[in-house]
Amino acid sequence: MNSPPTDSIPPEPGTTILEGESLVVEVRGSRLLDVDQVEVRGGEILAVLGPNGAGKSTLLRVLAMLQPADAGTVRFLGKSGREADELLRRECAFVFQRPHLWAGSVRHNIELGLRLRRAASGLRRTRAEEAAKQLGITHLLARDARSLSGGEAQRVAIARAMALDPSILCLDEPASNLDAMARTALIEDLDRVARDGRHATVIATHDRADAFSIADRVIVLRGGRIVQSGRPEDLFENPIDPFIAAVTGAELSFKATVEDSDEGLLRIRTGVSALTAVGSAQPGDTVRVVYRPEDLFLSKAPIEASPRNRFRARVTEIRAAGSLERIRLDADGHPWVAVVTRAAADELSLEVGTEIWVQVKATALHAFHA
Amino acid sequence: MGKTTRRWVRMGSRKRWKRASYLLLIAGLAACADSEQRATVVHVGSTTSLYDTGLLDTLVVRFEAENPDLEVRVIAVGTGQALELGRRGDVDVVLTHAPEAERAFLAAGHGRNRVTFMQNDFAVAGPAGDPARVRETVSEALAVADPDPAPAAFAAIASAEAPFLSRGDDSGTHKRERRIWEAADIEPEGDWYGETGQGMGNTLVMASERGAYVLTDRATLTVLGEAAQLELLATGGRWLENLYSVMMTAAGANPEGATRFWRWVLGEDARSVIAGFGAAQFGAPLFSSLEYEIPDADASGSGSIGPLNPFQRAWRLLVSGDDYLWDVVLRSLAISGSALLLAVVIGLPIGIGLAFSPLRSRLPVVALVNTGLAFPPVVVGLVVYLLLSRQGPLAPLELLYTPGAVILAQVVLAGPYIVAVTLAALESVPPDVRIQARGLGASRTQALLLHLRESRASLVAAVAAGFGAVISEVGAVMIVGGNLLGETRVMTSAIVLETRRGNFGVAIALGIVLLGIALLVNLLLTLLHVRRIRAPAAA
Repeated sequence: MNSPPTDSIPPEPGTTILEGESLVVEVRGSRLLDVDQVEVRGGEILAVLGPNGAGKSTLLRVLAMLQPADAGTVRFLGKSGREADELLRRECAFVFQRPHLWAGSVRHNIELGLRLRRAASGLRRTRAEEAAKQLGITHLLARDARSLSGGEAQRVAIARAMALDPSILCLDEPASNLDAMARTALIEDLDRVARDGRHATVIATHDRADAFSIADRVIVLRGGRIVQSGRPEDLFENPIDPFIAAVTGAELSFKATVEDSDEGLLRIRTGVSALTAVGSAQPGDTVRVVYRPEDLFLSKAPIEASPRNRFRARVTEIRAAGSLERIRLDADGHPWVAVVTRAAADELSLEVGTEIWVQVKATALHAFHA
Repeated sequence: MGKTTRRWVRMGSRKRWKRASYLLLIAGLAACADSEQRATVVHVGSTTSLYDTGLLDTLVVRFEAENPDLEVRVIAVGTGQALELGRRGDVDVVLTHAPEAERAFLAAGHGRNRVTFMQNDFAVAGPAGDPARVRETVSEALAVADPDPAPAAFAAIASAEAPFLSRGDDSGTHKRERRIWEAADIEPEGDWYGETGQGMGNTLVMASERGAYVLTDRATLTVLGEAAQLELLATGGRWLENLYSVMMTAAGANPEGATRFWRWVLGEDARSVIAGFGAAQFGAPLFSSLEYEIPDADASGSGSIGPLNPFQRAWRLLVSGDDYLWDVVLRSLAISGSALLLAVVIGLPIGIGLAFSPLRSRLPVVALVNTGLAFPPVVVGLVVYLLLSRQGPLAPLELLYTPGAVILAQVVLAGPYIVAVTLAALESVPPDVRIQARGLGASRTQALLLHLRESRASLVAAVAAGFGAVISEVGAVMIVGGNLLGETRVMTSAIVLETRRGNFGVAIALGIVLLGIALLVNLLLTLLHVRRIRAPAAA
């Protein structure tokens, strides 16, 4: 082991490279994880989706052999046990939810994994600079790693993993603890770097927009068990129960047709509405668009310097949800769901039948192939 | 030499600094309190042999019963220091046994009314096997009608290079020993000749442990009995005659009380105590009274206290690179440094093991370590002493009164400390740091090293504080090391000895070096602390 990671195993798209069988993890009698069968295929992006405490982190750690399972087998490239462990240490890079940055500079941290593999200093330098460039943190290289903000630290951690050019990249809630802006930017960068086809990516997240906007396949976990898995569209079209529907947020999505595509910005049409969304697709493609209800901004009058998407809608239902109000809207026959604070609802004097303006940024509409 | 020292003198502890401040405070308070007690307290500087045998206690109890308005405080030290205390006026009466030194003391005007009132004798004692054949030498000397066999006995020891332990404390016994070496025309030096710097009782116990020859007063040897497994090999003659005198000091603070005590010691009551002392227990009295006339107590006589500034002397010693001073300093650093190294080599893996073992299985060990932390150093000294002594299980190692013994005691002291702080340092780092390292491809060993690297500031601080703890310790060092000159005499035990001898200059110089070490260590700790504050952990 510990040879420089220059001879990465070439990922053969579609073939299983990492799999788990009958994986069980128990703590004091309660099952944190109970998974019959899970596999990661070469080159794919697999999202593990589920609410907090569903066992996402545990599944990732067990698959990466960073945590032993109480029962079951992990197989990596056909090997299991100690051999798989040694192979994984060389071929797998894991980004933790709260990444630990070692005392020293950012450059030192990004080179750390390569140093552990005893890579030559020249290689370390090029790889680190390449990875830093991909994540947009070249300007941070000389900084003290302990002086970074949460978003910067997360990017350093991802760059540190990417620098290894791993066969498999595991990301545990990489975008949690970040504010909405930083989150969207990070997911976009991740989508780009993870989709270079050189490696498989497993990403655990509780955020369906994150998951659906980048995943090839999604696994939904509940109580340590896999309740459904498949392509994102399968989950939208055929949720096996209301839980899946809630997790995927099926009602917070709609189908649309791509009219025009320009550098990641898509002109889409659904019914009579034309909207701008982000995603990669060709004109004529059918896409599914997901959004978060909190990203819809309601106002009495249209706002100047507004985002790309602005339209009028009518309130069809108002339902209290804690301190928030859940507003159902109808825009020329297209249903939307928004969430506003009670104070905002009062200020807008929202009632069923009220006509209001809706603004939503293009980056809040994530489109992917249906 | 100075350069090496500066490099070494980096460590110590916050505690040590505090302790020193307390000592200064206590000394100041004691100086204030002293003046109020002067009228009722008589300070007596006495040779250790009178104290170790118990005679002085018996005399004092009788005197105080008869003189309820007076309290006698005995300072049991060597004769040389008793006279030094007298010269400074710290004691009112001295009981000593070095006639020449006493005469010089009188001549210098420091004392008055000296009366030689009691005697017993010195003896050469040694191990049962008598490897230097002292007994034979003495018989031969007596056979040719030499009435003074002591120099011949010493010559036999020196030529055999058999181990000999000198008190080395400027006491009456030590002065006599020097005179006998002079008479034998021998300058004793070499590995076989050691200096304890301690009282007669301790020196006898150490000689017994080491199988060494020793010059002793007969009374202390008799009283120690079985505790000192030594045989009486030579006695009698002019050189081994031991005469005790009592006199008042010129500079004492309580001349009236001094006169009353002096007169009582020379009176009939004391005479009868001395005549009977030890007869019941040992078959024969330990001392015998001499015939004397009580002179008139001369209350005048002003002793001149020479201009003395121990701080100036300390300064001169420090800047002149005094051999004795730096020998002790470097020896301290070497001994405590080795002890620390061993404690780290042993304690670090244990601390690491504890940090990485489940909470439940580590509890018993942590409890044990915490108990070790609470152990008073003196008790550690006692336990190590019992282990290493002739009757102890580790006797075959022959470590007692060697640097090895001191190192062992200091390892026992510092070990639990190193374990505890290693554990704390490792736990100060986020618990999943090793898993995160593994997630980047680290082997188990690499992950461990990365974890240690993250806690290195705490570890360095801990090791520095551990060094301060061992280098400032005195109790255990005295017990297991014996304060042997050139072997186990370290800064703390040397300070104790030099203070007792009245060599305040040396004591202060050593104290300054110790404080300097404490100061440097605190600087180091503060710097580390500041660096940690400047580099806060990422959110």
